[in-house]
Amino acid sequence: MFYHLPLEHEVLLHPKYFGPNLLNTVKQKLYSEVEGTCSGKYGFVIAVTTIDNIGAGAVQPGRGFVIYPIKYKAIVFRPFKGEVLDAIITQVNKVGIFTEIGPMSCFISRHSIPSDMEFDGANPCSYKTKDEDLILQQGDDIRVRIVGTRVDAKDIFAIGSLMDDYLGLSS
Amino acid sequence: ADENASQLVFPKEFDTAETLLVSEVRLLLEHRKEQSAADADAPEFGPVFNKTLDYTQTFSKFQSRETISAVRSLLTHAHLHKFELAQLANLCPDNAEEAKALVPSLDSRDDEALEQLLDELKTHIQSQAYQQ
Repeated sequence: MFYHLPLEHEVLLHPKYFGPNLLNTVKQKLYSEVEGTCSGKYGFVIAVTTIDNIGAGAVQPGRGFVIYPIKYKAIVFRPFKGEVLDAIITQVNKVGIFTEIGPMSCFISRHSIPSDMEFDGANPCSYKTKDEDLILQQGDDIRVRIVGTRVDAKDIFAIGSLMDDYLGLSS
Repeated sequence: ADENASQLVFPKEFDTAETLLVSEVRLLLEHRKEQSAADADAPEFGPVFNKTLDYTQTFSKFQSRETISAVRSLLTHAHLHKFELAQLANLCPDNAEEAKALVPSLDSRDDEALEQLLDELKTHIQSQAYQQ
């Protein structure tokens, strides 16, 4: 799910940036330091929307660096267990289907694909029903339910399932 | 963590956050891209931004600001949880049965009222064919 979240970040500024362009440099550093990052707590930070407040810079004792505490808002993407999302199939093989949902990868195990669908190893690989009524292959749009998430240091990886009604190929 | 979207249990960090429709994210990211294109110094966008922009362009159901605003207004009046609101707008279920399957927290809602809401949602999508 995409959220608009208020967040906080500290930018450390080297004295070489002190000058008329200082605040602009602080803003640019905020963008480059938070956009594209990912945490288990807030999910993927896609883009900063507004900078609400840049606090007074505090000079660090013993060093020349200045810390600017910043309050900002950003678009984040955070998957939740139980949520249904649209996904694009990126790879199909006999262990399951790999998909991408925006910046995040989601894997659907063979065992989470309805049993009436069988793996077909012929190029292109796919999962299909016996009567070939439904075929899932690379590039297809599908609806998947998130059943679990794994959080790395800087990445979230989701596990999905197609077992419920109305999941799978989007009509 | 103790989270479960099917029962509307979310971490408290998200209590004060607004949910965003896929269509809204698309508009915001396209706008940001335009602003950046106008600035010669701006650095390139990374894979997270680009993948998200592609995804929202693929799955966005509503195209214009006006339609998005109308959809938000329609769904807000239905007194839904902000998660349910975004899910309905993003997934646009065809009928009450599909809506309840995709968004289980809607289970206790009256089918007829839900169908009416979904029908209105559908007319917004269809009316886009007649907009520019």
